[in-house]
Amino acid sequence: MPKTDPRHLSDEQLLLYFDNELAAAARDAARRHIDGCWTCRTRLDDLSGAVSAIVHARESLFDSLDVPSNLAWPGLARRIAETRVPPSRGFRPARFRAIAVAAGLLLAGWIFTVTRPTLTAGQVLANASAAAWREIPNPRAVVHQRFHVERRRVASGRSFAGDYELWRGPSNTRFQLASLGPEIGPSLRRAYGANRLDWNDPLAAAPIAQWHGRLSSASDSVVEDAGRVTVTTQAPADAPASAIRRAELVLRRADWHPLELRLTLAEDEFAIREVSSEVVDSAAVDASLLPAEPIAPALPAAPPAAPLPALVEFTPPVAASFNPLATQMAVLWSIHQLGADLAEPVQVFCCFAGDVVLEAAGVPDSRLEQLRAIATANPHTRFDSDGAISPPQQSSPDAAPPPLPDSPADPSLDSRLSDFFGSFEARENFTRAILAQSDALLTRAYALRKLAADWPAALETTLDPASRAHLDAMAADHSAAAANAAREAAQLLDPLAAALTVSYTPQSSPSAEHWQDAIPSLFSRAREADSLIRLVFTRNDRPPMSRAALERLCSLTREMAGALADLRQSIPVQP
Amino acid sequence: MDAGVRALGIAAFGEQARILDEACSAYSEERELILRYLLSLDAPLADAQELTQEVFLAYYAALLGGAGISVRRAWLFAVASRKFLNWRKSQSRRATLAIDNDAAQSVADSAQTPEARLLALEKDRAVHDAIQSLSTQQRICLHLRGEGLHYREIADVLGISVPAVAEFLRRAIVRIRKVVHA
Repeated sequence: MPKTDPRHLSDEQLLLYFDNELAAAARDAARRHIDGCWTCRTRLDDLSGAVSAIVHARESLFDSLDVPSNLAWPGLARRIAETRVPPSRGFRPARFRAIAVAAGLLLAGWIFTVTRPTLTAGQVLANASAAAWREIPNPRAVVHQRFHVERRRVASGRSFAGDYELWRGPSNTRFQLASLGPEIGPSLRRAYGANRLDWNDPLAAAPIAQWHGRLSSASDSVVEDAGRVTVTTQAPADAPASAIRRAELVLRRADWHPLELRLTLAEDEFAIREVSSEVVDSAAVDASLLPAEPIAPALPAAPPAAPLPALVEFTPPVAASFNPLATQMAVLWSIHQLGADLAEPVQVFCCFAGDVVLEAAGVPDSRLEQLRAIATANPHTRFDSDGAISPPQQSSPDAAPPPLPDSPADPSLDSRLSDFFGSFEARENFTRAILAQSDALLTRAYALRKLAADWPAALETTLDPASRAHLDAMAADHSAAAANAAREAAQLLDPLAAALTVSYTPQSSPSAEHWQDAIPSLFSRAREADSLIRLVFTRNDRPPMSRAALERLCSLTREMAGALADLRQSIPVQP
Repeated sequence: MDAGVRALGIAAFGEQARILDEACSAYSEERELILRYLLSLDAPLADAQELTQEVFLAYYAALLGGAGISVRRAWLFAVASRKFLNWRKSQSRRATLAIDNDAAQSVADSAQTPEARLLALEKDRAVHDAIQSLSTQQRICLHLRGEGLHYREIADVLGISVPAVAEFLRRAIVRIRKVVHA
């Protein structure tokens, strides 16, 4: 066919159509023509055959070659080490060469060996949190730190840098921000606020440990090198825009002292590096920097520093004048006794060198007063309502509930379900009852999930006995209530399952070393059960019910009732 | 990103660490693609491996030099194409890569009957020879399309217009279609 035959599509048009490269209107016109034109349809088939032949020939070629699956060639490390960049870009050749050689050596190590961290990120962060208590040896001591801060805007690539100083006492913190400038200070403060890090103490490990614990999933690495330990955490890809995407904390191995923190957010990258750190007597500090509270009277010289914690096993922190984690736990315990930790917009978080913050938004006035009273009753606890301190944290969205069982629908089940209830009112009452149990179960599951995320097992081991007892008591309360709700739901479903001859075998859950480890699975099952309950009993527009959905629902409620009861039993609760 | 790549990240410092991470990530994710592409352009295996290394070294150096690379894959293909062309110029004779008899036989063995085996073998050889007979630009366009790039991406890689890409592809496929339906 001549290429210019106006009655048919040209070869180029056919190819563009085949490759989906035509604009929408042209594509529609081409499709309509091809639908009615034998010639063009046949040419399109020929074109498709040619492309198939090309693909087949290419694959045959690759199959015929013995291409190594691991393309890590030994020469690459050396060549990376030799890689140069134009000096006009501002790199110092000597430094770069050293970096490149080190990188090359490590690359060689990566290629030929498998790097396996021996510590978890949680353990290192817990070590660092515990060690921080030892930095201030007595109430007269003040830690004086200088920081260098760099900010790089991701979109434009522009960079800013500044320095500031921090004086940190046992119960007071002051810092100077003026030299940071408007390009760094506000944005860094926003980033810290949105992620609940402690702006007053930018390298503190405890808030980073808590941020780490709140992540629904994270990819961690711990690397020890040249006396430093680097903990890198990659947050989930679906993190909100204001959330930290990646955090890298560099610690001095000898005493777990944080040296540098690198944060990557959607729009900014920050690097906060400690330039110097010294412990000085408060008498030597400009009084205007520490005006808020009187410095304690002179005390005997500080005792020798306690031995540093071991790499994995670490001892409880030495006594300090103020323990923010213990205070945070005490506040949480008070809130729990009020029942305000069940689906209420109340948050408690800890600024390591500052205060504990109790934040509430949109709660009734009566509850506000109760929360204010809790804050007043606890030392160093600030109360903020309606999110006045920091922007509300955008929690990462929950993963979608698991898909429903995929099995053939059984239309007879719906009619038998109607027969079982007998009347609309009976069905309505049943639905309300089981939804109430599901809501109760989910509420407790959310509370347990938050507790487990905020207080992971590694952090729990650093708590004082009273705080641990409070944490365990809260976990036990929630798991007992959740077990009751699951058991009630299962008992509601039992007659239904018998009437509809639904048979199921609940699976037992493997026991977990720490109660926190069992929570994600329980939470996921609670959500799945709730989805099934709503699908089966509340949706008028659902497709005909499948037997597998009912079996799964009955099985889930029984499994959870058992697993939660086991969980409750596994948590030691002191009288 | 695996632990090894993160281990690399701490060898350097600050921005360099980030760049090394990114370069290793690119190497880990795209190396097979680039190697396949170079092999399809009929570079012998050893040379294709060497060129693949050079592509990622160039990427690393470009990042270190502050180059703004918006679409990584397109950038890698562009560099691979240039390196392939330079390599070919440096060859005293054009290296040829054909489906060897053993491989062709093994491909053909998968067919159902002796006749089908023979046809498959002959067809693959004919198509392969037809691809080899295309112009360099046509072959590059064809193989980039075979690696899944869209016309706009191919145009970016080669620094030509989208209609030019379409025309190179049309000529290539028309030529191969003749072989297939001969």
